[in-house]
Amino acid sequence: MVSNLRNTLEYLAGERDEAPEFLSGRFELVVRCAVWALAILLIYAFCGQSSKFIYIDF
Amino acid sequence: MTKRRLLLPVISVVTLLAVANALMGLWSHRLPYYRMLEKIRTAHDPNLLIVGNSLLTGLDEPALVRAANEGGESFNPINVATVASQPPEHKLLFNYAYKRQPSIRTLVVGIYDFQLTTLVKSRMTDLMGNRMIAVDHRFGFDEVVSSYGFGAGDQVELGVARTLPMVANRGNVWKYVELVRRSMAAMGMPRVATNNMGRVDDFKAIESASPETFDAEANAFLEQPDHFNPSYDSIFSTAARAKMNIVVVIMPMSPYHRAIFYSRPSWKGYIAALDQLADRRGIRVIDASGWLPAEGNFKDHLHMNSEALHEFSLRLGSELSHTFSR
Repeated sequence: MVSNLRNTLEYLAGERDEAPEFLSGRFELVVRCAVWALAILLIYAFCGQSSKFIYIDF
Repeated sequence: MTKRRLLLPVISVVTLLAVANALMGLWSHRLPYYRMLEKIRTAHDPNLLIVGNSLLTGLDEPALVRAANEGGESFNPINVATVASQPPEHKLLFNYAYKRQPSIRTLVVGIYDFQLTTLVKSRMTDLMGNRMIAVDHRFGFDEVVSSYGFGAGDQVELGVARTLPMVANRGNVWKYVELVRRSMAAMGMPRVATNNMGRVDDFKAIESASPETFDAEANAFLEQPDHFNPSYDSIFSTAARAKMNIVVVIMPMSPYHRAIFYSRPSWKGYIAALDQLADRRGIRVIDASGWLPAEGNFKDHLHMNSEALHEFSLRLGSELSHTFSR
């Protein structure tokens, strides 16, 4: 499982050319969508890190 | 095949963003600024409107009403003071309360430092959290633009924010990330003082950077002591036209803040000029800055703790009843 995760991350990062099995099988498109969706949500949540928060109860 | 490979992710992402926006729109109904507007909408015949920022949010309204009653005044207050808000938001809240609640007869504004007179220049990028009240569709687009003095670029951003809740309420998501970041940064470090609004040390940033800066702000008003800033000018003009009693309360400040800033000649000159301006406009000023003499009455240099807020509310109720019986 750890090697699968590693292979996936390496593939997504461009380090590896061969896609892991679940990324190249029947559900390839669905998985790609999920990866991009997750990336967008993470970027959205973390892109405010340059903000200076004083009050934190809003 | 290549087009299909592109199309499906694009459709998925657009769908995801549409769903996220819809969810964020629903979630925004639970945010403090939205609840404040609902509080104004659903209030039952208030006759006292209290406007201000975080210094007034914990006001003990029952204590104020009780003390005023003992002095012969009957108040049904609605407190729209909002954490981390600025004069333009106060103006929007006041305008909404004025339109929705014609029973309001008295306006109390709680201020500190130069809140009534300093020009607040805000861009859309400055608006976050409670300052996002401007995106609510209860306020007309032109009303918001004029309240903030937005230029063309900010007007476009405002239009986008009013259409997409994910843009408007992004700060409310970032807040949770910030809380996680703070808790991780605190691991293994000495405890820092916090209160319900944030880290105590952070609030130094909303005081003047130095006594010299404070003097400069006071002197800027003293050069042209004939008007409030546009937001409060509008609030007071509207309130006067509606024949409201208008009271400005200079809020209690910690001994630290008073020693560093309010003991300065510039502050005394500023207050004298502000009193004259208020008098010309029919506004009563209550200087409560020295009502609470102990540092222990405050959570930081500016905000009273709950016991002090209770004491302040009692005294304010009594003072208001005396003010109107004169």
